[in-house]
Amino acid sequence: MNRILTIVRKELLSFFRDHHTLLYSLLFPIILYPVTFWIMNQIMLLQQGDLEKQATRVAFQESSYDRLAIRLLEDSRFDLLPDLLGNPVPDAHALRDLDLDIVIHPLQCMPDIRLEVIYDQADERSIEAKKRVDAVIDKIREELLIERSGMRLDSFPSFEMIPIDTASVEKRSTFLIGAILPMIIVIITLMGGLYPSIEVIVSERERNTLETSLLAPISRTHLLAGKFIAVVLMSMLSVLLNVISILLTLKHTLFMADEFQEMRFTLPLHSIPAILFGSLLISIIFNALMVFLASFARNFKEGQSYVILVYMLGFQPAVVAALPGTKFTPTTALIPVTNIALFFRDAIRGELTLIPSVITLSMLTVLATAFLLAARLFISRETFVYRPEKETTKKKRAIRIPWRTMRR
Amino acid sequence: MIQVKEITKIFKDPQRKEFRAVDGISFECRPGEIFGLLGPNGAGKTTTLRMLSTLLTPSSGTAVINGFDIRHEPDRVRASIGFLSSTTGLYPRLTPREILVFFGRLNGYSADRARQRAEELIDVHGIREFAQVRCEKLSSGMKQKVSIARATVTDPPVLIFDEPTVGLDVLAAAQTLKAVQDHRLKGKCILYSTHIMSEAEKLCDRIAIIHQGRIAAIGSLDALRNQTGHRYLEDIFISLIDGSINGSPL
Repeated sequence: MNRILTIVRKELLSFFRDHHTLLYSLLFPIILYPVTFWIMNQIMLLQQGDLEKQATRVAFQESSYDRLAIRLLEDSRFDLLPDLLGNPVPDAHALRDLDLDIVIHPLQCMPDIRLEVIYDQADERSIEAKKRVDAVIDKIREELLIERSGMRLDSFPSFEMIPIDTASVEKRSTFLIGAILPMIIVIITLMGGLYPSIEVIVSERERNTLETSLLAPISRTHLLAGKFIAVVLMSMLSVLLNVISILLTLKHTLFMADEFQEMRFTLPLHSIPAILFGSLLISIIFNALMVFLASFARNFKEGQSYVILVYMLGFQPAVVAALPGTKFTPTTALIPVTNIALFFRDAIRGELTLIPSVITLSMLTVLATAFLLAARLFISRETFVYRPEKETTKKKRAIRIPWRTMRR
Repeated sequence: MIQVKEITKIFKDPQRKEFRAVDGISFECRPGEIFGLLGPNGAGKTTTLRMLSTLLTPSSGTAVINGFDIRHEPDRVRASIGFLSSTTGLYPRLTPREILVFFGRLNGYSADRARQRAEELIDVHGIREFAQVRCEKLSSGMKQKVSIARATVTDPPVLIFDEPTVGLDVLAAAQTLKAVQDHRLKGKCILYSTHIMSEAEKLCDRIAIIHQGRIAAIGSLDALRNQTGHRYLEDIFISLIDGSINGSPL
């Protein structure tokens, strides 16, 4: 047992003296997650606030149920529009065409009350509208209960609300997939390039094969281009296989569950090139950054720690796209990673808009070019081939001191 | 074939400030000749060879290899040389055949020509038995055969060897030396760096003794014997280095 403890002690000593282990295993997670969740929370509150500020556009289908109409008129969160007299009961398209969030269709008003509430489960404004109308109806129900408290139970009028979701099964499924798939694509793109980006330069340097490659009569730009394209292809292959695997898994597992049994997923055909092009761009950016950072590493372990940093920070902005109420606007199109995740989301939902898409793709192209140029500049330096041994720095010594203090 | 003119390499080191690894050395190497660079570790041999193979850029001076200047035509220089050192590794997940074809293609051969050349080299260097085995599974002797074949894929007129026998067993080292001698017979211009006296004695037509980045003496073995009065290269080497350390003129 003593020997095991001796080994444990030696290993811990090594871990605590290795600033990479300290940084990435202890310090970084301690700081990263609180900061990330705080930022997410702020963005979510901001988005939720925006959504709550927007007035719900509500219309009655035919004869009004006055009590409800009055309540809605009194409530500033509702924008009560003229009755849709003579119009057919709206479907999802009609809701959008009429610029309505919700339609109330009173089937019966006296003595029993029956209301149809027509909304779109695949539209965030409509979902918010349904929540607001539910709250108002609940209040009316409470009032009715108080008013009719003396009545006999068999003569008590019923109050029935029938929610009608106009979203098709495909639209609801696509809405759900659109919320989760962009984040997954970003994570897989990062994972797919993680090891190849270290392998192509740092591992070659460690195995002395980088010198061998550089002896060929080709320019370093060509060498970098060849290596980089291979990394991007691996990353893209990983994205493709993983997305297929996820969709098949969803189809055969999640969508088999009772609550999702009717779910269907169809990717709009016109969105596929956009998704592929977007994936390629984000793959170029992440991999250019990872190859660039890994080039500074002296060994695989050091390369891994640099690249994992990109991974840990890289996928966080993509989470924003899954938050309710986040819109793909010219402003959000300026936030790297968030923009491509929103681009994917809207492409999957078939709701891509031109200006944010152009901003996103242009911005990512500029970033990808910048990272590649930086990598090209670095590989032309001699230290790219022969990295100098690291000197003991003040920083390293500073990390040793607390451990010595701990021992004492 | 190789003309080195006052070549210097200065490394900037935060602790040592400026460090002159190579300090204005000049020499020439002719076709059909093995020119030896002999010196202790850290003398500047490897830095010199890395500059000649265009992996490092000289701080001043230059060299012309096969008519091409290392500063201005690095791609053509690399196409003219076969470079082999103890640090030029082989891709562990590729087989010798794949490596030879790969380098043939990088040198501009068509796919058919590259395959044909690979098969020729496989026969010449006795690689056929393990031509389909991944390099990570080969012994150091086998790897060295593949490395020599790799360096000669394009049959270049200039060959540069940087301590090619380091880490090899006696048999593998002997095979390497034999391969170097075979290439001299083919009329190649060979620059051979080593710190092993017996190798230099056995192989080199002319030797430059390099110490602290400078050439301490240059000439054939007989010329060096006459210059120092010693018979064996080891004694010649020590007397020259001692002279250099003590500040005596060389």
